[in-house]
Amino acid sequence: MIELKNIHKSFGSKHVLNGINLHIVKGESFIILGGSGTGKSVMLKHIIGLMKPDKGRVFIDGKDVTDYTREQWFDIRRRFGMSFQEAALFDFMNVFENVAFPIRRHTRSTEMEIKKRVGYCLDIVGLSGNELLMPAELSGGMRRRAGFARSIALNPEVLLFDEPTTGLDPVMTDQIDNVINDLRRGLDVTCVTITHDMVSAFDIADRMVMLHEGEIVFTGTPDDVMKSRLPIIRSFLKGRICEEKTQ
Amino acid sequence: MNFLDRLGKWVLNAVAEAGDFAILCWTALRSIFKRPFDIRNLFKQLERIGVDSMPVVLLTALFTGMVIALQTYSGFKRFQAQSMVGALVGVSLTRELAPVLAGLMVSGRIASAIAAEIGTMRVTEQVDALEVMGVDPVQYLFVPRILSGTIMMPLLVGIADVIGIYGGFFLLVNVFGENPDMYLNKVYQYTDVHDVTSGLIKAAVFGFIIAMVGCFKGLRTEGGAEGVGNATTSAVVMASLLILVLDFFLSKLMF
Ligand SMILES: Nc1ncnc2c1ncn2[C@@H]1O[C@H](COP(=O)(O)OP(=O)(O)OP(=O)(O)O)[C@@H](O)[C@H]1O
Ligand SMILES: [Mg+2]
Repeated sequence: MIELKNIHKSFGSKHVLNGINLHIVKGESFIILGGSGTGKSVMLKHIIGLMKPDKGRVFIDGKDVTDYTREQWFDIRRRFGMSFQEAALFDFMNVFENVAFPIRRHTRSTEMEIKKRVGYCLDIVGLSGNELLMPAELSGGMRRRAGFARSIALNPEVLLFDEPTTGLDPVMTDQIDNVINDLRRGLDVTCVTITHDMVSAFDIADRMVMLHEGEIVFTGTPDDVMKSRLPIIRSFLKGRICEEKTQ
Repeated sequence: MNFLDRLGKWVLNAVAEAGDFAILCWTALRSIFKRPFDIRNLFKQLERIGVDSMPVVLLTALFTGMVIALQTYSGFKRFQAQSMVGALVGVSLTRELAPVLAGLMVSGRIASAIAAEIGTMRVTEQVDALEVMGVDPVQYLFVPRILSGTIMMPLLVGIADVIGIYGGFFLLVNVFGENPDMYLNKVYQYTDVHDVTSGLIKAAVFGFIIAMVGCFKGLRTEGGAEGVGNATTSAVVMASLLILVLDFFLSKLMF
């Protein structure tokens, strides 16, 4: 479904991605792990064409999209939903209009249908009753959830989540993880999620990769992760192990 | 050598930027005709650009009209030609001063506001979010703004022409006690329709430039809040310079 081949990316003299190879299969939940500043967000932006690689190719459904023009990308992106790390809500619209925005742009839904859909999306992320607030009036976590709701509003086939649960309380985190799992169960949705939270990673993952210093140092199922002897994986797992002991 | 290096780099940057600007102008112009056309957004921008700029433009026009009348009156009086003041105020305002001064004032007011707004959207990834949703930022953000600029500036300048001429009238009649009919007669007699329309055409071009430069600088913003600040100031500088340069060429063209 999505394939990155030998992706290199630098900003000035700073090499962020050094030859990334990965293949995301249709319908799977793919988790990207890695320390802060290792280039996870940059990698995600390559998948959806917001950044172009210095070297390497990007394939979507077997087609080489690396050199697609903006117009060509617009067509592909209708099938994608993405939530940004800092939510990226439109600050001149209230929460309702933000979530309704992609629906209004891309469908001919009636106002009733829009209301219903937006209400549903806000409900599952626990934001009912906040429709009329402006983004500036929301907390960081609320903003993130509203961004999440907007990304799923159009029922996209592929979802890219950049740290959807960072900064949320454990109950809310669990709820978002459930939403992601439900989405995948109901429809044949492919999810790519960046997270620091090992508990949610294990909750939703079919496969995980670990990014370190611009390279993928590990790929495998959650079971493989548990068995792995890599020091970097072990230190990431420590957080989870501590939590299991306290349970 | 070092100095020449820097100069060379500066020139190259400027040329590259001019090229990018031209390409973006072309893209934006083509996007005007793309569906869906966002009429609600257009009205919002029309209102904003019109309302925000009205007070500064009118004050500028009023005082410009008065000062031309004042200066030329003292000069013309020396050879008994004070009756010609109306002609001079009318021609210079409509052809040149109203569009250019309004353009400069609106640059400060609107080019900066647009650059700040779109720049903030850029650094907070709202522009990326638009792209991801398959919405062309050029179409969605630029088109309503450049259309509003192009429509509103001639309107503002039209009003500015009238206010400026009456500013001169007020000064001559109420301060210097000249004959009120004489002034207005000379204005009508010497100001051609062509003077007014050429001024309004300039205004439309300036309005386009102001909005376009704001959008351009906003879209190129990098580096957080500081970047937004830089985009804002450089938008005003670039818009003002372009207005002065284009004013010359347009004047030459419509002489
Ligand atoms: N637009 C940009 N311009 C310059 N440098 C950038 C840009 N975007 C990212 N970087 C650099 O790339 C590196 C990786 O950034 P990225 O945002 O991908 O990190 P991350 O893995 O998502 O970290 P975090 O978990 O903190 O979000 C950072 O060191 C950052 O400085
Ligand atoms: Mg990130």
